[in-house]
Amino acid sequence: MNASLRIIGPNFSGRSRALCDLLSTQSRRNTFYVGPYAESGLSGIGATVGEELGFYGFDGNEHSDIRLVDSFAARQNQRVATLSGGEQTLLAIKCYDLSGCNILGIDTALEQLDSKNREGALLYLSRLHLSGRKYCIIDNRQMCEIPNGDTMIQKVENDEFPLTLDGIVRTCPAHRAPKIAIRLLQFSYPRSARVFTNVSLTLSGGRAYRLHGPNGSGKSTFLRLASGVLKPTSGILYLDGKEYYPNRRGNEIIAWAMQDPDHQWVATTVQSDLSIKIDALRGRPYACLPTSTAMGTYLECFGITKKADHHLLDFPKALRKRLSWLWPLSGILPWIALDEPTLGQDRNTVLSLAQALTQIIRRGLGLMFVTHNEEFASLIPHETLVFGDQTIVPQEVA
Amino acid sequence: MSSTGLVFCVIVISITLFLPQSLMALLPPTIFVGIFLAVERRKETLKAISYGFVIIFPILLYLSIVWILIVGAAPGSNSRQSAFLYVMTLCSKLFLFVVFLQSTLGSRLAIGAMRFLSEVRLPKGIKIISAMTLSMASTIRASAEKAWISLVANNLLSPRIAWKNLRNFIRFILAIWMSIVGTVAMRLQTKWALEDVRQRLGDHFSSAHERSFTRRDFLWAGHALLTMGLTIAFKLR
Repeated sequence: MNASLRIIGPNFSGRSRALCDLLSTQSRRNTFYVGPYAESGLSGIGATVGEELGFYGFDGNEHSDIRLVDSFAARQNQRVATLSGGEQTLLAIKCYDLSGCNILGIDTALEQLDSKNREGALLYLSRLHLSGRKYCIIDNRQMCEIPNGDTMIQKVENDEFPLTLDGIVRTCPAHRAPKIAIRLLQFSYPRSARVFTNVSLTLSGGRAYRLHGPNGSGKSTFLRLASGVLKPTSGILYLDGKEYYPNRRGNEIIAWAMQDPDHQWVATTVQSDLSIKIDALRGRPYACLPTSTAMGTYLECFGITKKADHHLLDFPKALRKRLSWLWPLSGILPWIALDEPTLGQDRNTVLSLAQALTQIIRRGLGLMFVTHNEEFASLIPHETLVFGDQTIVPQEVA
Repeated sequence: MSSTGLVFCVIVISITLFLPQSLMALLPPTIFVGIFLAVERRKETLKAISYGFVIIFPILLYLSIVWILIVGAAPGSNSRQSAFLYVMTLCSKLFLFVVFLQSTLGSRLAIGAMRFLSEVRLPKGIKIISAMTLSMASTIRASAEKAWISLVANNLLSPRIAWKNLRNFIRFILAIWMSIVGTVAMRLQTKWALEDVRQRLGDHFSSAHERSFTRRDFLWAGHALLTMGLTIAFKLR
């Protein structure tokens, strides 16, 4: 293996397996692996940032060569679980830097980074060979040419889980999403710095909004506030002009696909997961329940018609990520929220999703999405909400 | 107190707490725990006691219904009064155990399990197993938080007190389980397997600076052993 290796191929072509096989041929004490989600990016041995760094040899002094945006030195007591996905990836790279391992394997983890951090991480990787270290990467985004690097191409003979989102777009009901108005929103986590100060903005149905900002700027927190998981410290939400308290009455409008799909299942199969979520919405004014034949269409769209009764955890993670879109794309609730929907997805899948979302928005549904995938964002006509400095500022129409 | 002294006291007092079979025999460990809280954990005493109440109260309720109301007798006897004493003794032991554990290991582990394990003088194998087990604890906590978010966002749970929280509790457990299995399976198959985390833990603990008994530790260890002796004497009387 040269200084670097990039493994290219579509989903389910065995890229991740190839990466793991390659790393397992190396000395395990010299290998460091950063998987696609938090559970396999960090060791989990340390509950706090300081412990995780300490496990990989951090002695409290900052003397490494790594020049990423966040050095983590000032956040030693923060719980790892409270870091955003991107921050966990940065921490993992930092741990690699400290570990003294020679080989780094990255499985799509850099897709969680914002452009600045991604640039920093790629620059760091490009300089690894100077210290005799190597890396092996899977990444679905555009990457610059790697000098002295190898490429491994993985091919897929038969697509085991063909994705055709046309059906789900067809069955998606056309309904005008209610206007969400937020007035003087303030929020801070207990014993933590304030996340939002006096945020006021209006989100209209039939439009897409990109929640954009650096890792840890409050994008996921905003989705939690809007869907009633968190209670604002102060401020009011309005739905079509009427006061709306999702924290009290329950979430009535947002169908949310989380960053890590395994955090959102409420049942063991796709069918039962969807049925339970639908049952919980009966009688709610904004819910538009699907027809009895819709379930068959949904399963067909994700290529799992014959595997409908399979346990969700038996499916590959990349498919579970796709299946996490089913709930929002079904259009049962008028607002769609997607948190990094393209993580680990190949380019064709990203294009299909963008196309489906564009069509669904035309039907009147609203979309809020968080992504660091610029190509995906550029494919959906959207307005940008810029997060940072405790505020959310709407930007011009893209 | 050093981590090693703390672990010694926890082991001795834990064994001591499970010796007594009457409320009277619980007196020595109760006094020990009381003095320990007053001297070593002044500010955290109330927190530890309330923690104990939260954990033990549902158990007390359940055992009271089963043994006092339904069965109506303690094992080996046939009076309701014996059932009452049986339940009270059992719950008092558990209460003291939870309070002591929370005020000693609980607070230390909350600050940093790895630091605590690095300092404590224990066989390396036990430390490695403990670190791996404790990593599960933080995984469970993170999974519970994520599952909570998912179920609230999907209207299956409410952040307020509501009947649906009781009705959908089993779904909450299932969601936590799904999240844990997804996380642990992925971690074991990839990260831990590829990096040989067990070996790395071994290296980490080998190079760590272990702290041995201090004078304060000897004092508390002596008291703990004395408490154990007194409890055994109560039991034999």
